[in-house]
Formats: sequence, C-alpha cells, structure tokens
Amino acid sequence: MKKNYNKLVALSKKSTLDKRSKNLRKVVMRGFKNSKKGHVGSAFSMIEILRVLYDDILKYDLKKLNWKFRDRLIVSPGWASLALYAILSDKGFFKTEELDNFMNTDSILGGCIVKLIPGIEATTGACGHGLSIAIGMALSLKLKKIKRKVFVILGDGEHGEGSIWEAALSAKKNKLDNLIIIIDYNKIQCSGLTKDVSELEPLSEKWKSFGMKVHEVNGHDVKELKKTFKKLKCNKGYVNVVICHTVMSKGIKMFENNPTYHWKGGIDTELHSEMKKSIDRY
Amino acid sequence: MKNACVKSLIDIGRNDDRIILISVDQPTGFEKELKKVFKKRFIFEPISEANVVGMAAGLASNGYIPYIFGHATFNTRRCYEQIVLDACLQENHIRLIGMGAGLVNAHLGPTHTAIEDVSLLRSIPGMTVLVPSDAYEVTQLMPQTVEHKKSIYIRLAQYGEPRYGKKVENNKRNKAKIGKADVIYTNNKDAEIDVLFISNGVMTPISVESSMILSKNNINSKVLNISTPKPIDTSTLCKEVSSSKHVVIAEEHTLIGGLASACLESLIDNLGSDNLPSISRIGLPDKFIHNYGSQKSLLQKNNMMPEQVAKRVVHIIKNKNLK
Repeated sequence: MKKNYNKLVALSKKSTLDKRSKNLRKVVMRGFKNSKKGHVGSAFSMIEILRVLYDDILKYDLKKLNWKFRDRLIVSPGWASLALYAILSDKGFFKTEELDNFMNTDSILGGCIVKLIPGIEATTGACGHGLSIAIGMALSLKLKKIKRKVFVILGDGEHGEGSIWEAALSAKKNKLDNLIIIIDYNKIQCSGLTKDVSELEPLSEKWKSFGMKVHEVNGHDVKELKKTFKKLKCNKGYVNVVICHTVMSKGIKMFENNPTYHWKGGIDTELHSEMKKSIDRY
Repeated sequence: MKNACVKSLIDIGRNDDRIILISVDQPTGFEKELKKVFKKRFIFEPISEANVVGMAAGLASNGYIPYIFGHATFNTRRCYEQIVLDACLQENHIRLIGMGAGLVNAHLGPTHTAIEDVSLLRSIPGMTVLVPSDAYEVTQLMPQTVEHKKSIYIRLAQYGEPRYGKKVENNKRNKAKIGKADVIYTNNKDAEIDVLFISNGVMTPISVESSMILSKNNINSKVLNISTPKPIDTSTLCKEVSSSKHVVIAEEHTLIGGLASACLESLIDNLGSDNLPSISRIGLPDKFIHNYGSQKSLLQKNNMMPEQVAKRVVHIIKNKNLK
C-alpha cells in the first residue's frame, strides 16, 4: 500500500509534459497575465486529468450543451477554474480570448467556476459541495434510465468537509455505478501540506471502506489516465474512485510542491515571463 | 399539518413523475403508500442534511422537483450553505419541508426549536418562504408548490388545528395562494376596525382567538394572514395597514428577520415611515430558549396565548388612546 503510494508520488513528480500539456498550461498563463493573481497550484495539477476527460472520455455536443445524453463533469474545487477554462476554450466552448479578461468585473470567467459559463455543469468554490450535486445528477440519470456517466473531481483538501463523507455513504447506498469520483491528490491545501494539516493517508483505504472500487494512477500520465478511465466498469453496482497522484503547480518547477503557491498574488510581467519559460523548459 | 402535507404530496406525485420525496431519516407516517406510489422516487437518506440538499439540487438540475422532508431545525441550519449555493444560486429549485418548526419541539430544548428559520431562509435571494397556519392551508398550498419556479421553504408548526381551523372556516376563508395575503377573520364586519392583526403560522389561529376575545371588550379587529412572508404581498399589506388605526404583527419566531421584519421593510419602502399607523410586534425574544414543556406552555411563558395577546392589545390601545 505505502509502496504503491510512494511509487506513484515519485512517478507524478518525474512525469514530463508533452506539447499539448504545455500549450494548455500556456492558456492558463493568459488568465494570470491579466489578473496577476489566482489559484496557481490546482490550475496546474489538474490539467492532464481534464485533458484526458475532454479528449477521450466525456460524451458531449458542442452544438447542444444541454443534450440530455451528455456525460456530466462536476469540478468540486471550483478554484481550479483556470485549468477548466483552458480546456473548455481549447474545445470551443468559448473563445480563448475570454481568458484575457479573467476575474475582470464584467468577465464571464471568475476566480471560481459558475454554471453560467458554457460547459460548466455546477457552480463550485465552497468546499465539499460537488460530490453531493454529482450524486443527485447520477441518481437523476438512473431514474430516467439514461446510460450516461457523472464524473466528479474532488480536491484533497476538501476531504476535511463532513459533507464529502455524508455523500460517500449516500453514493454507496444508492449503488451509483454511473458515478466516477476522481481525486486530484496534489497533497497541498490552503494552509500547508495536507499531511500536516490533517493526514489523509491511507486515502485509498478510506474510500475502499465506504464500499468503493478504488484505482490509483499517476495523474500526469496521459496514457495511464486514459487507460484507467476507459477500463472502468460502470454497471457493477459500485462507485469507482480514481485517485490521481498529482503535483501542485506541475510544470512550473520553482513552484512545485510548495504550499506558498496554492494561491499566488503579485504575478508581475517578470514573474509571468519566468513562469512561461519554466513551462517551456519542462 | 404534517399529515396534510404528505397526503398532498402523495396526490401530487401520483401523476407527476418529476416529484421526488427525500426523507432525511424522518418517518413520514405514510411510508407504505409512498413506496407504492412513488416507488424509486421516494428516497430515504441517512441523517445528512448537507448531502441531501446538494443531492436534491443535482436532481433538480436534471428536471426533477425534489421535496426534502426533515426537521425544521436541521433542514435549515445544518445545510444552509447548500441551500444558498447549490439550490438558490444555481436555480436548482428544491422544496424544504421543515417539520416541528417554531416551538413544537419545545420539550426537546433549544437544539430542536426552530425560531430563527424564517429569518435565515428569507434572507436568501430567490427563496420563497411559506408559513401556513393550519392543515387546510397546507392542502391548498402544496399543489401550487409544484410549478413554482423558485426554491421553497415550507414551515410546518401544527397547533390544535381543528379547534381554531373550524372557527376560521366558519368565517368563510378564501383559497390560500402562494404570494397572497388574505384577511381571514373579522370580529365585527359592520364596524370600523380598531386593530389589524398580521400573522402567520400558529399565531394566526391565536390572533383569531384574540380577536374573538377583543370583540367582548368592544374592540373591533381583523386578522390578515400572510402565509407567504417572502415574497410578501405588498399591495394587500399596504392596503390593510393604511386603513387601520393600530397594527399588531404576531409570529412564532424571534423578532429578528421574520414576519414583522418582512412587513416593516415592505411598509417603509412602499408607504413611507411617515404614513404608518401605530405598530406593535409580538414574537419571541432574541434569546436561546432554556425552558422545556410544550409549544403552548412556552407561548404562555412568552405572553403569546390568545388571552394574553388580547390583554396586551387592550393595554396598548389604552396607553395610546387609540379608541
């Protein structure tokens, strides 16, 4: 158990980034250029998870965003907004230029995601809400006999909220095998390292004890993520949990694994340029 | 009141597949029938109000109309952020049924008395708050909750319904409507009115009873029942208040943020502070309640039972030389 954890942590740190991953990170940087501040850490730890979901897994129709047979994705850590804005603009949900207005008074793109943005299923940003909303959506699809999936990304820090564990009981009880819980396990939260704030390990054992089928992957390995999501069995009466070991601020070496950069202000032109160079060099 | 609510829901849900009832570990008394009629749309969840409200929001986002059945205290305070963010902010319209509101569970102490719930819920943008006064009103309001395009809090605080209900009924009540205030009782129809009671919930039958007592003292009064404190029926409220010498607003709630606050906000905005008659408020103090007993014994303790209210009104009228 510990061996697997250590192996995946090491792999996530070693993972290199291909051209697409670097380009998506540069789209994130467009947001920071204007705002000069934001949640840097999770905007970079979640990129590969989102990229694989939108490139290879999720069923959606750009021409009909409310298509009733679409898969749903809820991103519970709504503050990782720039990662989602990068992929959504890349896929054509809205123009990439919108990121140049990130967090401006009249922008459609705020610091946390809201349902009014094309492609966003739920407004999030307060911790511990996404899983319950996802459970309601998964249940609604079951009741309507629509065979589509609900994916929900959780942050590790928000595991401190009691509502996450209330929801875990409910997901199991309602046998929501169309629900896939993905954890962006970057091991850093607002005030420090998750292990120092409140140790989550053994995280996989916690979810297993709630009756979930748990999978653990390197959350920056595009191939492995794709293989894992494709192989999930979603008709067996159990909920799948995919724990993705990721690196906070992945792609910007000088910020990686440093809790200081969960949120970063003062991203001036010089620092912005250094961050971009760091992505290029990765 | 609870029975009337669940029975209405069963009737509504019989022919409408969008209706879902989620019980937060609270027996409804109609489990067998609900399972038969609602089948998978009747969901029994563990004690987990925060999750249940989020889950209901998710169901609502996909076309369902979820009713959440639970204690007024826990269905409001415990899951407040979920009500604000998951339901109201995202326009996922849910229905919260708050059983045992007000002082109904007085015997269990302050953990189980919901006396600030209206204030909490009323302050959320887009929330509708219903405080029906008896089972008769619940039965009329429930079918209207289905197509209402807002989230709704339905506050249930039963209080010896048949006794008071019948007296009001004899006075020929209009049909209760969401968003509509209604004069449900006048003690002397042919005379000029001295006192206008404005009330909802259990304070409506109590105000009716007080009005009856006052008629013996030659004080003419009527009762304006406001079963929807939000959105409040401004036009009826202003019309009735404008033609009154004295107004008494009575609620089974603290005097912060409830019916009296809602009325005064609306009156000041629409009539102006210079055009108001004398107004008194009857309600619970801004204190945690550390007594037990029953709803009636605590109403008694707070001078809110019919005889006491009547006495207070006589005193006010005398002091203010209103008659």
